[in-house]
Amino acid sequence: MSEESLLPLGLALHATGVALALVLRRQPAACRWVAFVASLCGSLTSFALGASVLASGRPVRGVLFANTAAGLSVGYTVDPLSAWFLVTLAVLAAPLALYSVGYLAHAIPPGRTAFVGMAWNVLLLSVEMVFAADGVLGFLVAWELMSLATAALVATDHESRPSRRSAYLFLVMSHLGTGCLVAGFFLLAQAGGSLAFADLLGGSASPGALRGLVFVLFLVGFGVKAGMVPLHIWLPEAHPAAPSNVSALMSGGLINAGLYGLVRVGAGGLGRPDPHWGMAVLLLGSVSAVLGVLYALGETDLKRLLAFSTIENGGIALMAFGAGMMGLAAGHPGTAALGVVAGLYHVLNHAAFKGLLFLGAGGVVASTGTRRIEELGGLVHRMPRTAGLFLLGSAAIAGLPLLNGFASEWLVFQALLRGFFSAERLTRIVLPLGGALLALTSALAAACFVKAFALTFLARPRSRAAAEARESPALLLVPQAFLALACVGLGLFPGLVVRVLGGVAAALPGIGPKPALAGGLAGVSVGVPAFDQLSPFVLVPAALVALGLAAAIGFMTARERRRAPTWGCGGELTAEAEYTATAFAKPLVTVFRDIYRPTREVSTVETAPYFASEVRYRSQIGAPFERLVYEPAARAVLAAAGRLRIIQAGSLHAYLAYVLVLGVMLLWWLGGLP
Amino acid sequence: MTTNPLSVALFAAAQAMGFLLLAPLLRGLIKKMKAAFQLRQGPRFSQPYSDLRKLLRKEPVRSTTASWVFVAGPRVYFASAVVATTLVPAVLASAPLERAGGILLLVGLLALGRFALATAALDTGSPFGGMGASREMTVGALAEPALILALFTAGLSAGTLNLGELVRRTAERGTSIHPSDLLAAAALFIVLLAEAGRVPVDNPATHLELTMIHEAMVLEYSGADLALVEWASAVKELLFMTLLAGLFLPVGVATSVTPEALAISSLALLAKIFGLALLVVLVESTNAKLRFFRVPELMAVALGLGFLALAMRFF
Amino acid sequence: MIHDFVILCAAGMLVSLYLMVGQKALVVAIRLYGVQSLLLGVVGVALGLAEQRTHLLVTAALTIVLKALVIPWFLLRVIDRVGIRREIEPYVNVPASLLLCLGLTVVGYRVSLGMAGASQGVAHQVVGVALSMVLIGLFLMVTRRKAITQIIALLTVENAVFLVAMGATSGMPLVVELGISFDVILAVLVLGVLVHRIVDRFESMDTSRLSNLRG
Repeated sequence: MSEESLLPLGLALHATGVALALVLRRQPAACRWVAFVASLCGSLTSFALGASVLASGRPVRGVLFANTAAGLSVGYTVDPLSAWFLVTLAVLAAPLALYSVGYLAHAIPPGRTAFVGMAWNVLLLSVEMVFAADGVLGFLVAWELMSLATAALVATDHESRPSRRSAYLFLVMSHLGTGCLVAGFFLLAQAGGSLAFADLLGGSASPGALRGLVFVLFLVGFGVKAGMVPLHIWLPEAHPAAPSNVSALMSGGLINAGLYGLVRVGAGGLGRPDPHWGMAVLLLGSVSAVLGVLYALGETDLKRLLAFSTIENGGIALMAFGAGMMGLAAGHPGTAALGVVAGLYHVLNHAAFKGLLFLGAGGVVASTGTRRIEELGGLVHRMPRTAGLFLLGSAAIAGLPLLNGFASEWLVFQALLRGFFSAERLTRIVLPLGGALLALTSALAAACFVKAFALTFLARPRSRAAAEARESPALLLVPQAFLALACVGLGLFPGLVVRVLGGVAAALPGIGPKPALAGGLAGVSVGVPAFDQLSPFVLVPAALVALGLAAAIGFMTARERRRAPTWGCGGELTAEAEYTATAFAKPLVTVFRDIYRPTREVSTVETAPYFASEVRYRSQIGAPFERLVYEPAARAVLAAAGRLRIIQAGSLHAYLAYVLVLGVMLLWWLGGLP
Repeated sequence: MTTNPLSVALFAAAQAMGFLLLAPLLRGLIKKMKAAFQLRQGPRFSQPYSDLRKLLRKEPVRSTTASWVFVAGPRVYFASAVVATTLVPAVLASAPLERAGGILLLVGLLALGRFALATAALDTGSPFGGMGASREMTVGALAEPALILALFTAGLSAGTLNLGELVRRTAERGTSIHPSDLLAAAALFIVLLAEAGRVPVDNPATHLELTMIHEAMVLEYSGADLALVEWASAVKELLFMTLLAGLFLPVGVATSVTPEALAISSLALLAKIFGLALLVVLVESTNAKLRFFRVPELMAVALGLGFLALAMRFF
Repeated sequence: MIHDFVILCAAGMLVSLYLMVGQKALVVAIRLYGVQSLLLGVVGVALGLAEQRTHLLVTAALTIVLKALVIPWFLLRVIDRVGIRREIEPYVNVPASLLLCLGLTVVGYRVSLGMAGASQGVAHQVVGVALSMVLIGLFLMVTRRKAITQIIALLTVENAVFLVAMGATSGMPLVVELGISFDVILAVLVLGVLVHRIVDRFESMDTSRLSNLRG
């Protein structure tokens, strides 16, 4: 099988999934299996394609269809960058397909199975096409299809009003972004005179004075999809509203579409970037990262917490790309390569651990019926495997050593620190600021995931549903185990990943071969002479020995270990006495209250003076972006629309009369022309 | 310095053992000095060793609500502290496992320990555990960036983040003290107070619920579990002091493996640690413990100092 | 000679449109549309034979079958079902309409005069007629109230465009023409259904009643 036929084959497999799901819509079980097996095969095919391109370094090109009469052709080019994103998508989508078969058996009404199966395959098909498109037309059609399929999946539970609202918000924001993309491509195509990416984004197009505007348009357009603050407001609504397998795909896979676009455009796509561009991306990324993790900390809904965490990780990737762009602008291809490598590594890692976390959360929600952490607890005894895997995912996302989150954060720090060796004043100020913010983010993320894991799984169950939860079936656990293994593997072998990514970075226009980064089986080292190194190869034996020592010391005690109920100061401890998620996060919310702007209402019901029979406490974290940016904007638009309503006479004849008058005027004017 | 895996392993084991054996002595020293300040006799220098032995002989009692996470917490905490000791240059101007990673790995290991302990604290369902974990993560969330910035300042001025290499270069350059070094050292000292749970951040001797941070997290542990936690905390304290000494006062560090150099270096290190312990005791004895919500302000001061140190050095 | 014949047929189409403007019976209007489409088909046949363009013959045949026979039959059936046979008083009364239509014809011809040096002599006459038909068709849509009349006016505009395509250009590719014919059929079907709905809702085909739906 030739490389050229892999992409069409993958797309065809997804399309087959759509068709078969439609045909089998009356048998939910068969429909599920067929649709998701097709999706799995499609993912495996695109993985194979991506891996082969990464191994050989040569891009794969082809044409999907061409119509010479209309002068229309849609082709694809899978270069190393596209290949990396395809691989990332496949690594996530393949286990997800397996998970979906088991999960959707109970999570959605059986009549809707066909719909989800079809929309899923359409979504995967369109995302693969987004990564592989080599012309504006193909890209935009795939992009739009991706947005529509996502909206359809978000609205799976369309009976519920919040779900509908989330889907609607998603569509609005998505189209805002797509509009900017269309405008950007339009300007670029006008200057470049062609619709092919090779011409427009190959680093040689020169839209001249409009370059800055084009970049801003692309930044907004792709930033919406990547969940960049302040364009992120759809993310915490849409990701939780969808079924958990879809949320996992959205968080781990669709964010990447936006990041992919930004890398294409920023890393030399429009020629040498302005220094301000990299700085803007870095600052926006930092803000996204810090705000993302802060809001995640304040959340008590497990899936919303994970959604905000996605914003945080998207921000970290943006920081890396921003640092890379600044390097490129200053003429240091080594820094640029480092930034791109760090960001791309983080993208893959995020897919792995976020996928794992969402799948675990999905299992919990399926077993207990609730997403609210305040109603969970004690699940480590009822769902031990899910708990263990979720713990691994939490440790990974918190950036703890030996796992993949640490490896990519390490690289992002390296990219940021390289700026110290730049002569530019501005760089030297902005990059350490970014580093400080990244350090803060990382520490806050650890706090956030202690909360997410411990309060969901440990201590006593806080509700009947949690007390009666059952472990997820194997079909849901095996994909999680796979992703957990990926987290461990990516953390233990950063050198190999870096070597592959070095090739990807080298293939980007303007970057070229990278002297500053070296990676091998033993580890990674940055800088010549070595500025810093990371070698899990040395660390793992040391860690094992240390753990062995700790275990040995532990065994040195008396043989018996007594079990007793937790001391409750003489009384019986119930689940109500436990620390809640809100309580856990309260000190941090208090410390950062200027950002959170929490509000609080306390009302008491007194049956007799001074004897309260009921106290109601309600606290909420402010939503500044909605309040300060979007609501005024929405109000302005509605006000303007209200004023424009005058021409909407409501009469069909009036509208036709407008057309007629305009037609006559135009023709008169045209007739007067020679 | 050497790349022979066997000698690296021996060096690492020796350094780790050294830290493990000396850390309780540091605790004892600090207690004795604090007592002296208060015109008391205080416990013996070797009291912490006796305490550890006692704990190891006792039967650990574990909560019925707890799971394997509760048992794993102290072990991971201990292991992370031990591995961290092999990354720091102590007597020699190189760290045994410096090739495993530098500043970022060190901070990461400390974060791992904190994560494990905080998670385990929530396992028993006791409100003290939750409170301790919550407070510890809050303080840690602010202390960690301060630590990173202070260490970055030192690292970047030497041009490397590898701790062993850093000490070597600083030793070569001699003792020229830049004001940014002072600021970074101050930031690092504040973080030391926070990580070791010393006044004014936390009172290591209290068990009152309003005032505990670290103690609240480990309230439920007993027997060998508690021994591991106490030991690891002492090791961390020694680790921070060694770090401060090595990064900002690399006087007398041995650059070659000769007996004289080693002797001088060990004595120098002991002297520096003694000095730092004295400083800690001074701070503890002359300050009151801060109310919990004032601690983040102190951490913010540390963060500001760290950032200022970085700024002064580089702009 | 063929060209004169073609111009005659085009003029015939314009005349049929004027007749449509001038009277009120819906059945007659539909029949006039049928005649107009027949003339269009004849133009197609003539041009096809004269200039040896076989696909024009196919198109012309298609036009005659669909637009001169099928669509009028369908529309007559709709009227039958609905039971409404007369147009009510339009917004602009008949004499004034006719005068305005003359004005619109002038506008249409003005453009065609601007097309100096275009291909053959047929071209600029045909363009003149077609543009006038478009404008008058639009005018009918604006001023008439019944939905059926508006549909016929729309179809007239479509005929005009076809006329230009056949006479002034070398014809559109067959694929495109087939597509357009299909389009037209669909449009008429949909509009037919809509007429039923309008009558259901308002008991009248008066589209000005649709303003009641404004939210």
